[in-house]
Amino acid sequence: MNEQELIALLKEGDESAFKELVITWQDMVYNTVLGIVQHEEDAEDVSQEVFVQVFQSISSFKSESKLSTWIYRIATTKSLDHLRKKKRKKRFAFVQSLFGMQDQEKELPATFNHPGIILDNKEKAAVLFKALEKLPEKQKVAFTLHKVEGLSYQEIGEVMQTTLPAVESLIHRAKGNLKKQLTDYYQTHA
Amino acid sequence: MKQKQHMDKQVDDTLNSLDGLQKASPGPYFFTRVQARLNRNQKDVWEQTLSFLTRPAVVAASVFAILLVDIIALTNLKSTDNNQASIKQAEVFAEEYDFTIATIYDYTKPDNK
Repeated sequence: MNEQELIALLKEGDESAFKELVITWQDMVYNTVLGIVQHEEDAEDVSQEVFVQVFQSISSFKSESKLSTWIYRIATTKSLDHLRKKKRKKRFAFVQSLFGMQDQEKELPATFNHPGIILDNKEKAAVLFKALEKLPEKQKVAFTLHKVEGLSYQEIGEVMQTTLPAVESLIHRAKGNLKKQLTDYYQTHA
Repeated sequence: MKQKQHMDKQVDDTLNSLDGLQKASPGPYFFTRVQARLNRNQKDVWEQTLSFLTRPAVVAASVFAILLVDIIALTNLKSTDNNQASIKQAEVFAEEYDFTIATIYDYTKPDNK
């Protein structure tokens, strides 16, 4: 079944077509979401939301971009929404703790270990993921799509609906910011 | 100098630590869970509507809106009463001083009878 046939069937609400879509793209979606949210259970939850969204809004998909690009776009948007929601909750818990309404939530151990990292790189990758958390949203998405998903700058531009020079600039700035953060980290942990 | 070189190498190694990353996969039966979530979402429309309507903020806003409409209605009612009273007063005053007569002919007409 080619992509156009799959889209046509999905628009008719065909369940087997939806199953094929999920099976084809689940690793791609989960991997992207995991790279951004950095939490395995949350990533699974957000990935499910992504496919629900795909199913519910496939009728509005106009085939102007590739299906994979559209799914990547939903995945990154949902992941960022999830992070914002988490941040809001944290802030609310902090305010509550100030008024003595609730004990401030203890921060979970900060290290995130991506299951696909080579054993030798585990420690360094955990430091990198920690630094990635502090990047501005767009830089974080561009860097993650490039490094975790292996997308080209052109493909990232299509997902983020921006130009090639803009993507180059985002990744350049992301690398610069990460370098600064990592230098500080290694200076204090030397 | 050596220390700086060592640190630069550490930073570069860290930046490249995602090279050769294997793709992670969600747990088994992922599609079944997506399907369950989809069904749950479709069933939940009424529950969502009800839970939205029974939210304290929504209830408070509705009560406030009803009260506001009541207050506006009452204020309008009072001002119409006042208007009617002042119109009546003006009519009585006008009749008393014959201000209701529009022309001089109207005034002389009753005398001819």
